[in-house]
Amino acid sequence: MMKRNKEMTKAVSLVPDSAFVPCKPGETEAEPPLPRALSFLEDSWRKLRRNKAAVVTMILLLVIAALAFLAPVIAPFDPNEQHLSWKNLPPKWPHVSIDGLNGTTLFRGRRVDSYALAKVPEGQYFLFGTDEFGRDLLSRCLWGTRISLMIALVAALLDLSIGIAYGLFSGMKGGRWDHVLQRILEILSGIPSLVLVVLMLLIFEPGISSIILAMTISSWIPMARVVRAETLKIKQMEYVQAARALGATDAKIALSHVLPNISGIVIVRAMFSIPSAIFFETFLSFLGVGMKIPNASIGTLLNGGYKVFRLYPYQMFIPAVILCVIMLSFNLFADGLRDVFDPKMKEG
Amino acid sequence: MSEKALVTVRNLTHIYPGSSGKRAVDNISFSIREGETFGLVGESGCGKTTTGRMLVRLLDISSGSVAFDGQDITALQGKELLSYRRQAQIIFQDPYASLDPRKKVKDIIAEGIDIHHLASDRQERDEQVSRLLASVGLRPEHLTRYPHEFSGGQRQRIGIARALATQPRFVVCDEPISALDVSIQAQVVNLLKAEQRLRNLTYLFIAHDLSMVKYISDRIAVMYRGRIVETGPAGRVYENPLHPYTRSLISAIPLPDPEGERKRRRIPYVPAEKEEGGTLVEAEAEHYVWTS
Repeated sequence: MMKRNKEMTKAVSLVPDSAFVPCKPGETEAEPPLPRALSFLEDSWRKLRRNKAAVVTMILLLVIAALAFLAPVIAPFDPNEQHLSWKNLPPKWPHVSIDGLNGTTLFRGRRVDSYALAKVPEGQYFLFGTDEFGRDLLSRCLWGTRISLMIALVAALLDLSIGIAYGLFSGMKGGRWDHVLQRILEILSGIPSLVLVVLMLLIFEPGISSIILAMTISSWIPMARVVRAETLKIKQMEYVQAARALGATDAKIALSHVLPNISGIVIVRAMFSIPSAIFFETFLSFLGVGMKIPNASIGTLLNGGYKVFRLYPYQMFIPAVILCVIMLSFNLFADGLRDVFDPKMKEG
Repeated sequence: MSEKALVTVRNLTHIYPGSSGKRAVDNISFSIREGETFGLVGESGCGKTTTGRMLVRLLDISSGSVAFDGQDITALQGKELLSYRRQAQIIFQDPYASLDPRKKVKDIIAEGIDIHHLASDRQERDEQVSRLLASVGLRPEHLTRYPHEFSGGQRQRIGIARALATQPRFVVCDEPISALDVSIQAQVVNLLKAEQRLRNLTYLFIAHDLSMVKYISDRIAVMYRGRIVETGPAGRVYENPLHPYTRSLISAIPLPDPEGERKRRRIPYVPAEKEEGGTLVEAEAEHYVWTS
């Protein structure tokens, strides 16, 4: 002990006296000002930016959304307009001479200019080609993407409205209410949605409204369950107890304490439910119980494309790529959001 | 401090649902005088927190009654309950769990002011919040911060400011210092004492550390397995412990003296076989002990 003290004194004596400033009595050093704090959103954005896949897919989704939103303006043709003499034309891009993008087809070992054969006027390009009725595939893809994103929006809205409201109510009420509401959920989730949509065809016309109706019945159930579970967890927290002791009502606690604290999980959950909703619509349209012919959707385009896949592969290939890009983007973006908002959650 | 009892607890019992009738708090009675600090000590799980939460109506009262300023608050509902909540507040043990991480300090403190409409406009609300913040020793620039930017002691100060925002008369301090560093404990206890003098507050001070309770409390009750086994003036209970469990608790306090600490022997407490029956008996003035 003594020895260490001596060493300390020695170490201090190495510092020149001029480095010490005497302190006036009663004077204390002011605490350094706190660094500026990040709000929840700023912090989330900072974390999200670090995830390259999430940023890239976010930009991709924004571009796709912009294109789909602007479809009525930028689509070169009416998606349902038929030019029977221009049917099954391959993609032709201006100033591109790569086979497959220059409007030529392989015919008996030789490349022939399909556009010239179909008497398409010079300067007329179909970037994605045309289908069996001579409809412009680019326009149809834009409109089809629009449908897919609309379904995505509806799925998110259903999740955010019915799902959150149901889950919050069930979780906050607890007890008997919770018990009954959860049994109702189990019954609803037992209804197979595919069968339901097919049965709906007996009453409604096939189309987007019956798909949305089918989704209204069951798509929000996982969200309601997640919200309920999180609500039950947050309800036990001491800050909720404190709010209760202050006299806050259940509704106020749900909206001002529970909801902000589960928002991250809710956003992630909604993002993950979007790709499955898009796939649901595509699947139904592919089977012919979704979008009504001749309207375009990714599903009906795939349906038309797969029949002529051996002859005109681009007719299936292009919508398939679009679907893949949309699904992958939503999934990767949701994954990135999950890392930001909810690092503890392992699966969506 | 007056002789008038502010809080009177009669035969209070709590049975947690699903615990097959086990009594977390078993038929306890005590009263807290206006302006005093009533210490409640005991080991983990003895029912002291349950008691505190029942007093502020966060837990249901299974049987028995609680009277506050002459009014029975056992079954209050609606407006009357809200008015009681304004007067009786609670400070929580864990300063990390008791503040909403998504809210700014300003809004945490103002929650009670908003619920009870204690401020007529925004400016008055901000003034009240600033005054509370200053009184618990935090700086105005902390107002727009989030709880995660604060240390445990600072967070507990925010918790105290939140409880004081409704201008309560009675505050349950549920182990407010046991999650804090020893160096911070004294600061927080002194803050609580200063606020008590300033606002004529009545405290129920819950703790498992008898030495700190003795420092802050006027009277003490020792709880064991849901029952009060001894109660009396702080000094008397500490100097003349009558119940063997109290003796055991006191023997567990470390001494700030190496010589004494070396000699200190813990007295183990072996509970009597007989669990049922028994009453509190007045051994000396105001000093009661449980006898079976």
